[in-house]
Amino acid sequence: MKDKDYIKDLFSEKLANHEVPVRSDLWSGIQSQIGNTATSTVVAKGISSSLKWMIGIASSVAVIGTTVWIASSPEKSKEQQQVQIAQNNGNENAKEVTKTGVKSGVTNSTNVDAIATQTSPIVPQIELPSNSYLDEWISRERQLYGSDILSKQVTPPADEDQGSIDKAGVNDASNSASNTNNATPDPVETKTFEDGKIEEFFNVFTPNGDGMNDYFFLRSENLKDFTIRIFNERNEFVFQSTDKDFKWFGLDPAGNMVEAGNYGYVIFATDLNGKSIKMFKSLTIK
Amino acid sequence: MSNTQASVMDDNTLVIECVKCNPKAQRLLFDKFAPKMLTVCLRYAKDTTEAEDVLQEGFVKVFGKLSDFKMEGSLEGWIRRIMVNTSLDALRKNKKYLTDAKLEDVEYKVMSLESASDQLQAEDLLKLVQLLPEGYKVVFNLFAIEGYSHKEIADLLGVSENTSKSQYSRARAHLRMQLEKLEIER
Repeated sequence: MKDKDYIKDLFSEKLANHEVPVRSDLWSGIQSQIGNTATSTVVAKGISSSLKWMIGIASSVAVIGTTVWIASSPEKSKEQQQVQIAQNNGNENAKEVTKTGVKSGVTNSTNVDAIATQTSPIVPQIELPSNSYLDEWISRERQLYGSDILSKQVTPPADEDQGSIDKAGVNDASNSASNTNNATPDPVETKTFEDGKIEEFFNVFTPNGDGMNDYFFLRSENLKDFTIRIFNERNEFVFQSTDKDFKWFGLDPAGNMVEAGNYGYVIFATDLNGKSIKMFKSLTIK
Repeated sequence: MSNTQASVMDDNTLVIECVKCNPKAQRLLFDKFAPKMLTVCLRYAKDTTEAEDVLQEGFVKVFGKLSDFKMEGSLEGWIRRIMVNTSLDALRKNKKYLTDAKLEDVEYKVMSLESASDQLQAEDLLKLVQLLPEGYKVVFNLFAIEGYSHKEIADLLGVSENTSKSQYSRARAHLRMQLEKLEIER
C-alpha cells in the first residue's frame, strides 16, 4: 500500500493545483454565450463549439446586422430577378420578371432546375434564431463586398466551386439590372415568389470513387444567394461553396481526402423574396 | 488557495457581481480559475481542443448556475466539480467517436518525455494521465486527484465499487510502469 500512496500523492500533489495557460480567445466564446440563453440552447445541440461562439458573438451585433439586412435585401432581390431574365431567357424584357422568377426558381443552373421541378415535399429544416451570427455575417460581407458578395468569396473555395463564380456572373446582367436598380421595390411583386427551399437527400456519403454516393450535394429551389461551409469535428472549415449546385467530393482545400467521420455544415442563403435561410446540420463521411 | 492570481475582488464579491452580470467580474472569475480548470479538463480529455471545448462549456454552466452557489463552500471546489461533471458528460457523449491514442499522439508524448528534466514536472505527469486508457483515466482522475471515494465513483459512473477499485489499481500499475521507464531512460 506504500506504493499506492506514492503514486496517488505524486499525481495529486503535482496536478491538483497545476495551472495551464489558457488561450485568451476562449473567453470570448464563453462571454458570448452567457447572457444569451436562447442562442446557447439551440447551439448546444450542434457539433461545433467554435461555431457556438461565433453565433454567440453575433447576438450583440445582431441588431445592426438585421437592420442592414432589411435595408439591402429588397433591392437585391429586384436586381437578382433581372439577372434571371437575362440569363434564363436571354432577353431584357422586364415585364417577364415575375413569371420567370416563379417558374425557374433557381437561377442559372439547369441541373438544379431539373431536380427542383420534381421536388415538392418540404423537409423541416433546423433554423437558427434570426438574431444570430448568421445575419450579421451576411450583412457584414454585404457591406464589405457590395451587393453581390455571395458570388465573390474572400477565400477561394475548393475546385468544385470555380464553376459557380463563373456562372454567377452578375455582370452579365448588369445592364438590365441597372434599369430598375434604383426603383422602390414593389412588395406585392416580391411576394409572388414561393419560399426558398433547401433539401438534403443523404447526409452520409462515401467519397471512394465507386460511383455510388460519391459526393455530397443539396437540392434547392427559389434561392438567390447561397453559401455553404462544411467543417470537421475540430471546427476547421474543409469546404465552402457559393454554388447551389455544388458537389463536394470530400476533398479539403488542399485537395486531400478528408477523413471519415462527422462533419457539420452551415448554409447562409436568401430566397427570392429576400428572406434569409440559415441551416446548421450534420453529415457523415464513411 | 488561489492567491497567486491578482484579483481586486474576493470570491464572494466576485460571485455577487457575476450574478449581476457584471462583465468585468465575469472576466476576473474566468481568469482566476481557468488555468487550473483547464488542467482538470485536460486530465479527462483526449486532446487540448477537446479540453478547451469542455472548459468553455463548463464555464457557461458556471455562469448559468452561479446564482445557485451557496456561499459557504469553496468556489473553486464548486467550479471544479462542474468541470469534472462536464468532462464526464463529454466523454459519455463522444463515446462512439473515441479511439485509442493515435500513433502521432504517442510519438509526441514520448518525445516530450525524453526531454524531461530530472525532476518530474507536472506537465509530464499530466501527459502520462492523458495517455492512460480511457477507463483507467477517469477512475484514476476521480480517485487520486479529485479525491472521490470508490463508492462515489461507482455511483457517478454507474459501475460497481469493485470495478472502480480494479480500474484504479490497473491505472496505478500502468503509471508505475511508465514512471519506471522514465527513470531508466534518464
